[in-house]
Order: sequence, then C-alpha cells, then structure tokens
Amino acid sequence: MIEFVQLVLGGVAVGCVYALVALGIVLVYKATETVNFAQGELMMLGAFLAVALTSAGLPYWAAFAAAVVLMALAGAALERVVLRPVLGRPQFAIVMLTLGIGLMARGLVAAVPEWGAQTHSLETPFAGASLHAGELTLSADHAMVIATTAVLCGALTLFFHGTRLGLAMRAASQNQLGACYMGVSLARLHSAVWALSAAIAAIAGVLLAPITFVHTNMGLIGLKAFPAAVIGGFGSLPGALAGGIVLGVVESAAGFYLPEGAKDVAAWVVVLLVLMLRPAGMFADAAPRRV
Amino acid sequence: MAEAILSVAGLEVRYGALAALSAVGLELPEGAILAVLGANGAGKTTLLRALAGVLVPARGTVVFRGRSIAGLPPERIVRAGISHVPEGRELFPLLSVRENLLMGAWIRRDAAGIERDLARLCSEFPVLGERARQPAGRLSGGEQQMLAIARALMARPRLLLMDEPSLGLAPRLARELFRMIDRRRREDGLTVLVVEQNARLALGIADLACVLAGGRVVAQGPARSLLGEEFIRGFRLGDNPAGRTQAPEP
Repeated sequence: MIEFVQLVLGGVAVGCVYALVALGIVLVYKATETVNFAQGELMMLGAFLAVALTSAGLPYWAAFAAAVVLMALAGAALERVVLRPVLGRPQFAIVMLTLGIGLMARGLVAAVPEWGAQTHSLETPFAGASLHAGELTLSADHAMVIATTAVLCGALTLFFHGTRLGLAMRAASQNQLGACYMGVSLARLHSAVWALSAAIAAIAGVLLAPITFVHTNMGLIGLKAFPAAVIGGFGSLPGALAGGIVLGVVESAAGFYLPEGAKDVAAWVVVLLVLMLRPAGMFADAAPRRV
Repeated sequence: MAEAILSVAGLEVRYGALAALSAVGLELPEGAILAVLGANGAGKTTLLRALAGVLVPARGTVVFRGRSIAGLPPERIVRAGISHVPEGRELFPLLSVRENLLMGAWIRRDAAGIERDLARLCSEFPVLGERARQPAGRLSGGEQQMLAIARALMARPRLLLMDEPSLGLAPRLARELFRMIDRRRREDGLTVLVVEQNARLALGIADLACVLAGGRVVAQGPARSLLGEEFIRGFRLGDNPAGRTQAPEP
C-alpha cells in the first residue's frame, strides 16, 4: 500500500509538469485556435535559460523569475513576428509553422557551443533534500513541482476570474467577434496569451530541470502534454491539469507493475480509452461551442 | 436639431462582385433616432456592419463627430463612441450576465462609473439584475436581447447601432425597450440608428427614417411623414413576396 501511495506521489509530480505544458497548449488553442506544437520546446528554452542564468552567477530563485519573464517576452515576440502574419491561413499551415518553430528551437540550442549536445543540471537550493511523513518520502524536487503547480493554478484562477485581462481572455475564447465589438484588440490579446503560455512553459522547464536534467530533447515532453490535453477535453484548463496528473500517475504505475515499455504506451492507451468512453474529454465545456 | 454627429456619403459595400450597398448617404443629427427600414436583403444589416467596422467599405466616407471612421476595425469604432448591438447578439454564453456587462465597459477605466452604470441598467432591466450570476447562455432569447443592448450601453456610446432589437421580444417587452431607448436619448443625448422589421414600433419613437431597397436609399425624411405613407407599407411588406397587407401587430 505504502509503495502504491509512493508511486502515485511520484506520478502526480511528473504529471504536474505534463499538466503545465498541456495548460499552455490549451490556453493558446482556446484564445487563438492555433495548436502550438512548439510548447515543449518553449519549456526546453525556459530550462536552458535558467541554467545559463544560474551559471552566470544568479541565485536559483532570481534565475527562475528571470527565465519566466524572458520567456514571456519571447512568447509575445513569437506571436507578433511569426504567428500574426499567418493569422487566418489554413490550420494546416499554422500547425506546420509551430512544428517548424519547435524544430528550429532545438536546432538553435544545439548549435550554441557549451549548450548544444550536452546535458546540464540546474543547481537548486533544495538539491538532495526530501520530505518525510511516516514511511512516505517525497523528494524536494517533486514537492517543489507539486507546490508550484498548485500555487500557479490558484494564481491563474484569480487572474481569469478577478482581472480585466483575464475576463477578456475568457470572453474572446467564447466569441472573438463579440470581443471585437467590445473594443478588445484581438492582436494584443493574442500576444498576451502567448506570453502567458510561454511563461507557464518556462515554469514547467525550471521545475522539470532538477528531475530529468536539461537537454535539447526535453521538449519531447510535448508528446505527453498533448494526450494530457486531449484527455481533459482540449479546451478546458482544469481538464488539462487533471489530464496531466492522471497521465503521470498511470505512467508511474505502469512503469512499476507492467513489463518494460508499457510505460511509454500507457499515455496513449489512456487517450484511446477516454476518447472511446467520453469523446469530449473528462472536462468538456458545459455549453457546446458556438461556431 | 443639433448638427450631424454621423454623416455618411457615397457609401458602397461589396461582397465580391455584388454591391450590397451603393451610394448610401445619411445625415444623423446628435440626439436623434433614425429608423432604417427595408425588406430582407435590402442592405440594412450590411449598413450597420459597415458602420461598426466589420465590413470595409469599397467607397464612400463615414464621418463621426468630425472624424473619418470609414475602414477602421470594430475595436477602434467602439473607442470612437459607437456601440453595436449586432444581429445574433454575439454574447459570451459561458460568462455570467454581470461579466458580459463588464466586458461591455472594456474601453472604460472609471471603476466607480462602471458600477453606477451596472446598477442603473439592472434597475432598467430588472431581469438582468436578478440573473447577474447566471451564464448568459442560459437566458431566454428575449433576455439575451436585453443583455446585448445593456452590454452595448455599458460602453457609454454617443451613437448606438441596433440590429432588430425587437426580434424575439414579446410585444410588451419590445415597447418597454423602445421606451427605455427613448429615455436614454432624452436624458443622455444618445443618438440611435435602429434597423427594424417592425416599422410601426420603430417609427413610433424615431425622428427620422430611411428606407433601403436593393442596397440604395429610396426614401428618407422625418419619421412622422413616412409613418402614414403608402411606400412604407410597400417596403415594409417587401419581405412578404405576395406584397399583400400584413396582419396588424398582435
């Protein structure tokens, strides 16, 4: 039993990272109807930035904050320079574009001497520490992931339900034309959404860094974030969060109880099951989408 | 009456090769209510969409409060002082009634004034006050129509564009709504351009009327003078292919 609880805890921690990446994907999708296949790479860039900043002498927390702010700016710039010009083009073109952005990001990081082909570790002030409760152990890295995700979700809830900008993002995700009529500039709103999404990706990257180390293929975690978003209904923020955590726990259990390889298949088995049993996802919007 | 707040001249709007509006000219004095009448497909909604910035005119000028606004995007038009109650309402179905109204005030920064206007609208439309916390998508059609109008008023417009405000409203509610609009005009100097199928209702409060047919203005003048005229009956019944007299309002 204790072993199972331990597994679940570890799964929740990893699942939180999937959830954060999925959250960024869903945010951009709801606001701009663009599926961003580069979200995993944005996370990777955030992690690399944090590593670079700490090796430049910044303390962990300062590097964390700076990486998040810089990635938010990068997200807004990406929207302004790359995505805004293709707005209104066929979905397929935009999908290819985000895939291309992801590949370019990996290529660019790989081309930087010192960064490229190596694996880096991010020094944290809580390295090696762990929390104990009875026989349960939770590493400080994992505890940090869970706690930060919880705080971030609280902050996002306050943002979406308590601020003007958050309200406008919700409104525009339901009815873009309606938002225009209210005087909302969709272009600026899209920039803000991309900034928020890239900032969340950076947080995910910094949280994951001490667990998996930092390398150019980190962004492949996007392959787990997509199933997480689909499980949650691909349009629901709480759904993305729940989907990520479910996925993390299932993977962790599959890796322990099932033969080798099952772990990597588990995510997709869960997606298939959810799509068969509840095609709209666990957290489908209460009202059907207006087209 | 005061000088023109809105002057439209030579307005042409095209859908591809088709001219939906041609050579439309209008003069709307400040504080006036203009009823735009016409059959389905006459170009009434197209005119509103062009004024609201959703459609870009191919030709012509639109001057609002001394400023050219032709071709500006909708978000700039609202900031210039024109609010639009569009066909189909364009509400935010999952946001609460209150949140919809707050979105209406997006261009404003005066928190105290916004709260005052919320309170005022909720007393004018009591049902909106009662359902403030409910999602807009759960309101009845008539309630949604009232919410759409109230939301547009939250921007404190100088000019209100309304597309078929009486659509989906019970006759009693429609009359109440028009009385409220009339009060806004008298108390706040609101200028209104209203597209209506229900010509009798619109002409009852309008100062001016204009009749569109085939994308052109075919008649224009004081509402009282048009009210009794035969051609109004003709155009109003244009949506009735046989051209027979329509049954009186229930």
